[in-house]
Amino acid sequence: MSDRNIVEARNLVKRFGGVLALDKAEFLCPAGKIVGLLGENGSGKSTLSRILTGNISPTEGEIYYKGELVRFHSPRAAEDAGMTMIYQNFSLVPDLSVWQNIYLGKEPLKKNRSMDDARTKALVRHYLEQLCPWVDINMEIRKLMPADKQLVEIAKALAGEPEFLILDEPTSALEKEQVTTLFGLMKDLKSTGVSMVFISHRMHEVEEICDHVVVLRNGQTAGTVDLSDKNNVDYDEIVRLITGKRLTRGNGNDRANRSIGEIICQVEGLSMAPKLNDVTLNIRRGEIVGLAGLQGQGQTELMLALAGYSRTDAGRVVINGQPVRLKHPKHAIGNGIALVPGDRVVQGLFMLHSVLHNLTFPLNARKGAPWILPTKDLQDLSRQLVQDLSLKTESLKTPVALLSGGNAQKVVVAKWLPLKPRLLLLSDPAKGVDVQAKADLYDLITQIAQEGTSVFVYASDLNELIQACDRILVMYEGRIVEDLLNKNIDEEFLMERCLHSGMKRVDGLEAPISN
Amino acid sequence: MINGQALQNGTQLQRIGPKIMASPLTLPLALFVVVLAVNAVFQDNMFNPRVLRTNILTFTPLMLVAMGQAIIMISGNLDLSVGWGVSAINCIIATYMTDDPLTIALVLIIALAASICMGLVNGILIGYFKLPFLIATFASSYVWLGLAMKITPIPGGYFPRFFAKFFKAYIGPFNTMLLIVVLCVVVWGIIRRYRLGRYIYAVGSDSEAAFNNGINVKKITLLAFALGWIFVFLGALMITAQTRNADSQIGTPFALNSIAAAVVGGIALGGGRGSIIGAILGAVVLSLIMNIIYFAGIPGSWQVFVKGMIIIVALGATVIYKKKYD
Repeated sequence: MSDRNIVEARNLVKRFGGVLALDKAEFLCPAGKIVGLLGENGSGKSTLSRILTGNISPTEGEIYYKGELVRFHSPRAAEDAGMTMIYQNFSLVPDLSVWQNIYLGKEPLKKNRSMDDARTKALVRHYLEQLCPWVDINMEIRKLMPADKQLVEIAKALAGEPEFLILDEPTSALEKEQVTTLFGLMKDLKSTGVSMVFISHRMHEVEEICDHVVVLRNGQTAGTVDLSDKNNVDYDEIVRLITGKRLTRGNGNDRANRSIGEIICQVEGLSMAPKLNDVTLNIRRGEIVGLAGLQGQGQTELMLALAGYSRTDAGRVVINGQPVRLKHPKHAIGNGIALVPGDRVVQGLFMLHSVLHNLTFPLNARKGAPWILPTKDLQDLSRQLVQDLSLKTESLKTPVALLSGGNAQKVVVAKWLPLKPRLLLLSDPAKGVDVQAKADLYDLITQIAQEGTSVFVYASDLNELIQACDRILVMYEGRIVEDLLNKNIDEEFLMERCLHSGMKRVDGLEAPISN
Repeated sequence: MINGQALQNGTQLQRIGPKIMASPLTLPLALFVVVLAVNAVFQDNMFNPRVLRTNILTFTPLMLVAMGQAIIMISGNLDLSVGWGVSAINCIIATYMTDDPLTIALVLIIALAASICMGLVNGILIGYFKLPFLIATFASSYVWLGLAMKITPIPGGYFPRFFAKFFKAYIGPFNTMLLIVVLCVVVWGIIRRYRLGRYIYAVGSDSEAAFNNGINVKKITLLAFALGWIFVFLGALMITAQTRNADSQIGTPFALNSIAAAVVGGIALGGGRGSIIGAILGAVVLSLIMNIIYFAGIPGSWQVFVKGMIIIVALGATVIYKKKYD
């Protein structure tokens, strides 16, 4: 085997019971390069990385590491050989502190075999310095913010001084600034000879940092695309490899076809310590309003408050001219406000229950719903929804836990449609969802808006908002600081607005934001 | 102008305050002080050395069993069978014990071995056969009870006087039993400096994450049970030294009392958190509550009811406290 490649995987097959996750997949990583690994949810990306790092064994196939055939029986064995994976929060123990976690399982020992805590702490401080020096190494993991947890995961992988590193969606929890730091770090590592695999759904990040990409589809390697010429990236080819067809996108400027009506929702002075601070905004009928801003500025809390999940301290919400009381989700639903929550698994779906049950639940849960369920009508309705949304599911009886992320998310949105909501709230709906499903989702949202429902969507990815929204609001420290019409806005401008608001705040003088 | 330095320093109390409140031992300590004070009100001569000693003697078995339960809870499980386990060990010791030093040593060794075996059985059922701990330890508790009843169908047995005296030997209010508790705390402190200690917490906190770090979760679960049952053995030995009798029913209250003691002491039911000193404090608090009920002259028919109510309050305080300061 060529020793230009640090890792070669050939003819990989993996069966989980009856499901074929990998079907003779191939993967090569040249030494000292950063390779992107792309593919829809369910394409085999996770399975491939878990096999490479010893978490699971392949049913068939060979793996060559530094030219030699290897078979790792545990993640520890792979790590000892120099192959490490950065998980999405699967390897940090919540009740132990940061420093206890970084060397968990491979603690430096004293001569008497007891743990050398002093040396451990010193090493930890060293590794955290570059990535997140503000983190208190004595704090328990469960008390950290998600972004800091991700950075600790990364620091932990780096502390093992790996030669081959797989990063699985490392940026989804990170602020743009932290992503830049991470990429800087990756480039430094690359220059010292570390090879990396970067898995992400964020195309612009993949294009920025990777030398080339390998695309998986249905458990097989669909192809590779070279990214060395950053000005000439064949984006459409990548998407074609991922989906197997040209990207079907709804008409880019449906906005022209939609009529936006009168104001149906007004929020005045909404406050809730500590996250919401005098929020004032309005939304018109049929309008798609986006909510932008740095992470943690109160966006999630605003969505939850409007959906009736929180007791607000002050302010009011007016729907169609009538002030409404939103102290409980049922009040929100009763007023035509529906929420697609941020964490679909925990909050949006009955994971073990069928597609049919999930799609029809809000309908059956509303006031005045019949005691005896009209099964046939519900089945017809569900079938119609599945068809309209191009939902990929084996049958209506399939448990939603078995659906891919994108399709599950469609269920979370679709279940509200029969109720004909006035206002649909979405809290980062496309997070962790693959390219095609994301496009489908936003097509769906546009369609819903066309039929007269107003949409208020928060997204951590600014590009999503720019593509879909009529207006974009910027949130900073619990209040709306900008109200921008979406004409000729690009991502840089919008990001600057999100940051700029932070700058303006300090007594009218320009001052850097300190954390 | 904002004086950054002044903001940084703040007042000492402002910075330490939250840290104290969040410390896992604060609530157990506070409860301990409250209950101690109430006890002092009802039991006049409580601080008399002799009375203190007697109290300590009575509380020690629960302290030790609670420590054992705490270790098992920290590793993420629960053991309902420690109660009748204590019965079984008590019956083994007091039924076969004689005055002969050799026999004494042998009986103790066998009892300790039996104890560890009981822990290992539970550990294997739960760690290797993946039985839910509630079912596994519920079932094994009956096995231990059966063993106890086979060995000792009716209460009886023997425990040498001089041996019992050894455990009750004292200086001031401190006796041998207390010393044994202190030694146990020291031993656990030493274990915590080694990987086993940290891995027990890791497995209890998130067994999947622990596995991803190369920790042998099954082995740690097994070891936590074995270790816990060493403490259970000591607790059984202590109560045998006091009653000098074999009785298959003696262990019955220990099962749930040890769990309540651990929870009051700040051990999380979900695992991964808690200090062994908390378990000791919890056991003392629970025991003092029972003391109070007796000395306050609550009529016999109401005693159990009142005990239940007070424990609900203590546990409720634990939950509310966790919600606020965690």
